[in-house]
Amino acid sequence: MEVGMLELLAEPMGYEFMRVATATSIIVAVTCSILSSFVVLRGWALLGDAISHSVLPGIAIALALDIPYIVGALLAGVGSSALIGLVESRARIRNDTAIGVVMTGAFATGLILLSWMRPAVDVFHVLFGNPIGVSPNDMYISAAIGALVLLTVAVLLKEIVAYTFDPIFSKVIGIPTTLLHYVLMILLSLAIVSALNTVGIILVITLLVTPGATAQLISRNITQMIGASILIAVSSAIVGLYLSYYLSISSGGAIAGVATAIFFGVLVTKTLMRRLREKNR
Amino acid sequence: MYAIELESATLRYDDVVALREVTFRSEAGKMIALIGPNGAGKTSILKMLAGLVKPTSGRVKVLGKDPSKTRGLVAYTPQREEVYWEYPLTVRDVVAMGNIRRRGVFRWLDSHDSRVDTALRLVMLEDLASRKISELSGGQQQRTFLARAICQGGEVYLLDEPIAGLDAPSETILLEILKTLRDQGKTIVMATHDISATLEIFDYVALIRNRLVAFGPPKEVLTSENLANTYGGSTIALHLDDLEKVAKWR
Ligand SMILES: Nc1ncnc2c1ncn2[C@@H]1O[C@H](COP(=O)(O)OP(=O)(O)O)[C@@H](O)[C@H]1O
Ligand SMILES: [Mg+2]
Repeated sequence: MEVGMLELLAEPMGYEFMRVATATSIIVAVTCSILSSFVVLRGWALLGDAISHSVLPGIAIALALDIPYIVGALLAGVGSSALIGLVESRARIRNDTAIGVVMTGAFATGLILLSWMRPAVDVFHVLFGNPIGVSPNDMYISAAIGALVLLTVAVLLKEIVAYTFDPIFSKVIGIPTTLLHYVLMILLSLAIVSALNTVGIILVITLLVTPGATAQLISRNITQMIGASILIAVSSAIVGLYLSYYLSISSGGAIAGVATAIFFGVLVTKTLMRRLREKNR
Repeated sequence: MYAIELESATLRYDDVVALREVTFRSEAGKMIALIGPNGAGKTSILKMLAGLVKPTSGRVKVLGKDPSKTRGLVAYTPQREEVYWEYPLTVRDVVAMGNIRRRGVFRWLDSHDSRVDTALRLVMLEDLASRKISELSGGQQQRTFLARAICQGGEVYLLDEPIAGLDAPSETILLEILKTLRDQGKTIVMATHDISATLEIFDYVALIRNRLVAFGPPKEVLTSENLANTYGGSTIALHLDDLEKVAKWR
């Protein structure tokens, strides 16, 4: 039997859960990729990874206290970024060391708490995402977070660019840089929380790093870079979900995998094109 | 009123004494060079003047005020290694950052502004305005920073090692621009770890080695004895070449 391309694309969308999963994944991809450019340019890849791992104990504690998990995750995310800053300056150790200590410590705490409490949530889903299980309610929360991130970055774009490019200059000219830093940490934590259901806290770093890294290869200015980053992340989310549907593979893994493949695709193409240009000269 | 004023300024970082009892001052419209080897405390002085760190004891004033109250009047240019030059920005984008406080909320990266153009012209970068900053030479990057400071329109310019690693022509261009600014009444404080004959154009030099070794006009201060006290006997050999030039105008 001949199956057309159109039917292949349309079939999964016949299911409500796939429509919700796709919409949520696209929203999350946009949210994370907006921040991705700054994560890449400021060298926050490891910091973003630390925040995402630190979200685990926040979720565990929230479940224990019966408060919304989003509140616990947010507090843990911002708290860990503050703790990293504190450890770095007090212990006078390198930033990546401070991150390593805090990140693994927080993650271990989360694992201990969750294994001890044995809550009704599936730890595997928190770690690796489960877009198929996303409820419309989760989708609305992700959309609200996405709108907040988009609006904040749009309003503060100049300040964020100045701060992430040259923090010392920004402070001296009078930008409230400490406040701005924590606003960015809050946005990062929110983006990570919104990605819990789709890619999970282990793979969210792919959406926070790889689209920006790919965009940097092909962009001349920051607005272009943010735009390209969004485009790459959204394509990864859509292609990844279809792959996961037809191949019955992990959707978080598929989305992250596609994003990574695009990065290497662009890198190889760029290198080959440069070689070719040099040869023709 | 003095443009910059340090009085017995001591700065400690935990157990390290970066600067001990430093006292010097300058009126406005002067060029001041802070000279000393790495770790001498040059950046620390600039950071105190910028209000980024507070002296542990003593007093620092800029334009007669506490440095924390001079926002906008002081332009700070960090060492070149402090920023990521692969950031996708054009020369014009960076220069326009000097305007950031003059603009309201809800505006995009629109950098077409006469202040930006004026600053670009002054540092002779109009032709490179839309070039990516990663594609600039060291001297051009430094001039981009300077243009950003000019665009900001400050009264006091704090420049950390702007001539480090520049070739002689680039250094000359940069210093010429600084002279122009001084002639407009701006105060320029520049840190450098290299002694060279070009320091002659400065009104004052401060020799620093975690304390003030000497302060005054270059002809009086740049003596071999002062330089030996600043750089130590062994490192002085590295500067012999320059010392000969210095000796000529003593
Ligand atoms: N944040 C800091 N924490 C601890 N020590 C510092 C810090 N910044 C500078 N120092 C120390 O203070 C001294 C002066 O440093 P600095 O002002 O950077 O010198 P310079 O700019 O002349 O190379 C050095 O010994 C340096 O190690
Ligand atoms: Mg220094």
